[in-house]
Amino acid sequence: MGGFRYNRAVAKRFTLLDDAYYEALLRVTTALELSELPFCLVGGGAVQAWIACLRTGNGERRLSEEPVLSASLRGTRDLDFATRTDGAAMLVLLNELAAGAGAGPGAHVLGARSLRLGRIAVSFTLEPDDLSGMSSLYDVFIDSRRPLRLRRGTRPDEVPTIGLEELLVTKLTRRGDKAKDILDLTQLLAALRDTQRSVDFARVRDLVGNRPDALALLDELASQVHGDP
Amino acid sequence: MSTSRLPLLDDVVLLTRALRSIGAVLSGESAAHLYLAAATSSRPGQPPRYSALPPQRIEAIVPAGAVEPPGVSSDRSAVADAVRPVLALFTRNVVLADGTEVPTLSREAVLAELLGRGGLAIGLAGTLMQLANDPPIEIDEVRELLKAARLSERFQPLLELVQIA
Repeated sequence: MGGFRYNRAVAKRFTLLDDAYYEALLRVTTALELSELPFCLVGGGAVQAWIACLRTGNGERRLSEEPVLSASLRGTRDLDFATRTDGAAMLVLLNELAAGAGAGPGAHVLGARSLRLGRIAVSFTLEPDDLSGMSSLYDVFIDSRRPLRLRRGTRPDEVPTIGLEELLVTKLTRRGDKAKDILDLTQLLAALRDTQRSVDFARVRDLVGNRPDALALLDELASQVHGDP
Repeated sequence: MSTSRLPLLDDVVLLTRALRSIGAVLSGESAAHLYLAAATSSRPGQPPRYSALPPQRIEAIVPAGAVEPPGVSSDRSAVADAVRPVLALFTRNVVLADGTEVPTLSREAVLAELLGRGGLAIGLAGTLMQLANDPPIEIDEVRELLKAARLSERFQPLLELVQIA
């Protein structure tokens, strides 16, 4: 047996420990806060933010001070945000962001839902129809946001991020790339166990609804967190 | 900071001689943890330097006719059944940071086992691929093992993990 060998993907993936990724996160977060739109970080970036927040005591310690982080954050190619606005207003916001000081020469807008900040791709959902299969929960997800504290330097940065239970729901119910979502779930769960943070599994179950595959995985998750055999 | 110790390593160190004496190899989730511990220089008795859900039990593939030592569950998965007749081909010596050498199922076979189990075990497979890929894991071998265990349908998650690891 032999032949093809697995090597790391060619395309660069980023974690919160990468300056370019962290800077892009802060830049977009600041622009959205100034706009006063409701928004939150979602997707793989949100998983990273929750793991980093849990493992650093909500920003008590710097990201670089937690050695397990580099081994527990899954690199992603992009940042995903959910917000509530129309396409025209979002285009104005993104153009201002791309033209602003510090955005750099690699900043350009690719439409109302996509922005490039150098090597970092940033994606946005603007309305429930952008969330295929879970549009009825779109506002629930945005309203669940928590200001997670992350710290690189002397002061922590606050990043509005989808709620923990709601993030678990999005990962449990995704249909494509299931392996990636399960990897995210296990790393989140390991962080929860290590930091003894509880999860409202009743709320997760309620939001998951009647999805047998997701419920089976949720039962497995719950048994791991509670330490049941 | 990760606060939990990883008792698995302590137990494995104690069990190593017993496993070796009957020609058994550590397998399943516990083998994946051993590879992660070795790759991150995690030491027995100290907090792990990696992040993963703890294994539910210590498993080993025991040669036909041998009896598993106390504290070890005999691995009866489809992949274990496929490799048991040629176990020596899939046996590796994993060296921990304290110098302990543990007879362990190859990473390729461990990956096939985790993929075969499905559920959260797929997450552990992803962590293994991310942190313990030196030298590179032979993906073709994982595929052959899944085929031998009649688990070919489990190859798709592996392809997804290759894309992200």
